[in-house]
Amino acid sequence: MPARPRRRALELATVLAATAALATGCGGTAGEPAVVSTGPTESEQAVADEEATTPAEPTPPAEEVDDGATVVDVTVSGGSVSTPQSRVDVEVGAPVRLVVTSDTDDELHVHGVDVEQPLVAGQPTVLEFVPPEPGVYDVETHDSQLLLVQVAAR
Amino acid sequence: MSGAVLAHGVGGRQDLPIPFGLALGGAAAALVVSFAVLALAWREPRYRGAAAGRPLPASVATLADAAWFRWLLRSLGLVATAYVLLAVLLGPDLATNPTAGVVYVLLWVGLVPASLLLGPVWKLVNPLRTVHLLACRALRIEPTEGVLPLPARIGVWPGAVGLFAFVWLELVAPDRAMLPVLRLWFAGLAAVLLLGATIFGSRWFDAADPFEVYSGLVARLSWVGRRDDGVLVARRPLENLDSTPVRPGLAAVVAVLLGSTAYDSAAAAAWWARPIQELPVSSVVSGTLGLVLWIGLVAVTYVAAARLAGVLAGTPGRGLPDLFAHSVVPIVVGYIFAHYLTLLVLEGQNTLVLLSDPLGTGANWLGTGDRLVDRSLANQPTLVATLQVSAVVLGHVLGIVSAHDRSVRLFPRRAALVGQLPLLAVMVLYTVGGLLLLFAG
Repeated sequence: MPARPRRRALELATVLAATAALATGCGGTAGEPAVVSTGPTESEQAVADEEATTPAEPTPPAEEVDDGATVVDVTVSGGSVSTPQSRVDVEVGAPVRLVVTSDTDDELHVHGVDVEQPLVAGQPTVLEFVPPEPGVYDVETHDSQLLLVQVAAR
Repeated sequence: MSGAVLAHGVGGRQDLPIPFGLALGGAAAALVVSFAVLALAWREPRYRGAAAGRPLPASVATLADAAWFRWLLRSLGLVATAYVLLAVLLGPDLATNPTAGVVYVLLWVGLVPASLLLGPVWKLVNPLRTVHLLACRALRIEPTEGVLPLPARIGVWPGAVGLFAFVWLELVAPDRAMLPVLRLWFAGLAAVLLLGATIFGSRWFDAADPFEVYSGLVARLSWVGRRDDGVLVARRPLENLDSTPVRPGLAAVVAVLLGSTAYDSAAAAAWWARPIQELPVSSVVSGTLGLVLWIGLVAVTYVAAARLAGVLAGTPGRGLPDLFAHSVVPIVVGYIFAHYLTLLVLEGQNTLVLLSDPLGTGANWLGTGDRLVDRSLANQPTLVATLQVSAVVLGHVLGIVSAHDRSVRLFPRRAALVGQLPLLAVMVLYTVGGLLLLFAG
C-alpha cells in the first residue's frame, strides 16, 4: 500500500510540519524532525540509545506518567520490533505517548487517527495521539511496513 | 483485512477483541446446541431443496422475470460500473479515490447482505455478463452457446480459483488499495471471463465469476429461490440452502471463503503479524503462505471430516465434501458478518461520501459528498461484540442443522448420527476457532 499512503503521508507531514511551525511560532530548528509533542530530553535520549543497543534488557512495561498519558516505548532494530507488550490497553480519550527508536529512517503512522511522524535513525521520536473512539489502533512504519504495537482503546 | 488494506486507503481502526466471557458463552452455546440437534432433531430428511417453496405473488413473479425489468437491472449494473470506472481510470490515485472502498467494501462485503436479502444479485447486474450478452446479440449468436461444451467435472473450480485470486488481492497483494493494481486485477478478470464466455458460453460466468459464485452461494441462504419447475418461490432459508446445486469445487469455494476470512482476522492481530514480519522473506511471500495455510487448514479438516463421515456411516465416497459443503455456508456467512460488520457500516458510508466526487475535483454529483459518517456503531463495542458472537453462533446452529438433514438423507438410518459426528466436530472447531480469533484479535 505504500505509494498512496506515502503520497498521503507527504501531505500529512506537510500539514503536521506547518502546524508544528505555527505552534512553536515558526521556530523549527534545522535538522530537528518536526515533532508535534515534546521530544525526549537528553537523558531520555541516552536511555533510549542504551535500550536500542541492548535490546535484550527488559524494557519497562507501559506506564502512566504524571500527565496521565500512557507511554509506550518501541524499539525497531534490524527489522525486529520490541515493545513491552504487543497490545497496550488504554482508555478512549486518554493520550497515548509513543516513544519510537528505529535503526533506520522511516515513517511512523497510527491507523485510524491520521497521525504520522518521520522517524530518524537512532533518534527517539515521540508521537502522541488520543484514541477518539473505542477500537484497536495499529502503530506501523510505512517503508518497512512493520506493525509496532496495537493500542486497544476501551 | 480489509481492515488494514483500507486502513491506508480508507479507514483505520479495527474492532476491539470480544470479551472472554462472551467468547466462552458463545462456544458453550454452540456446543450445547450441536449435541441437542444430534440428540433431538428429526430422523427423516425434511428439506426438499428445489422441490420446496411457496410461489411468490403473480405480480411479483411477473415483474421479476419481465424482460424489461431484467434489462433495467443490467442497465443499472452497466451505469454503476461506468460511474466507478470514471474514478478507476480518471480519478486521482489518493485515499480520497472511492475505488478501493467500492471494491473491498461495497462489492465484496456488501454482496453478502445484498444476496441474503434479494437472492443472486450479482448475476442480475453483472456488467461483464451484460457485455457478453450484448456482443452475442450484435453478432446474432446464442449467448448460452459456446464453441466448446463446459465439462461437468469443472463445476465451480474456476470460481474457487477466482475467489482465491480476489482474496489474495484483498489481503496480500502489495499496493492493493492503489489504482494500478486494481486496474490490472480487474482487467485480468474481465479478460478471463469474457474469453471463457466466448469459448464456453454464458454458463462460464456461473462457473468462474468469483462474485457470481459467491453471491449465488450466499443467496441460497436467502428466502427466495427458484423451484424445479421454474416458479419463483419463497422458501425457508435452510430449505433454500438445501437446494444448492452440488457441483465439483463447491467445497473448495467454501474453504477459500472461510479460510481467507480467518487469515484476515489472524493477520490483523499482533500475535500473528509480529512474529510473521520477522521472517526473512518479503511480506508478499509470507502473506501468500499464511493465506494458503489458513485456507489449507479449513480444506484439509473439512475434507477429512466429510470423508470420515462417509466411512463411519458405511457409505464412503469422494463426492461427500461437495455434498456437505452447503452446510458450511451459514458458518461462513456468520463469521463474515462478525468480521466485516463495522467495516461495512463505517467504511461503506465513507465510500458513499467519496463516490460523490470520483474525479477528485471537489464535485458532489450524488449529493452524498457532504454527508458525515455516522460512527455511532464504533462507539458501541459491547453491542458490536454481542452481534459478532450471535452471528457466529447462529451460523453454527444453521450449519449443524443443515448438515444433520443432509446426513439423514445420505446415510443409512442407523449410521446417520454416527456419520455426522466428524462434521459436527469440524464445525465446532470452526466456530470455537472463529470466536478465539475474535477474542485474540
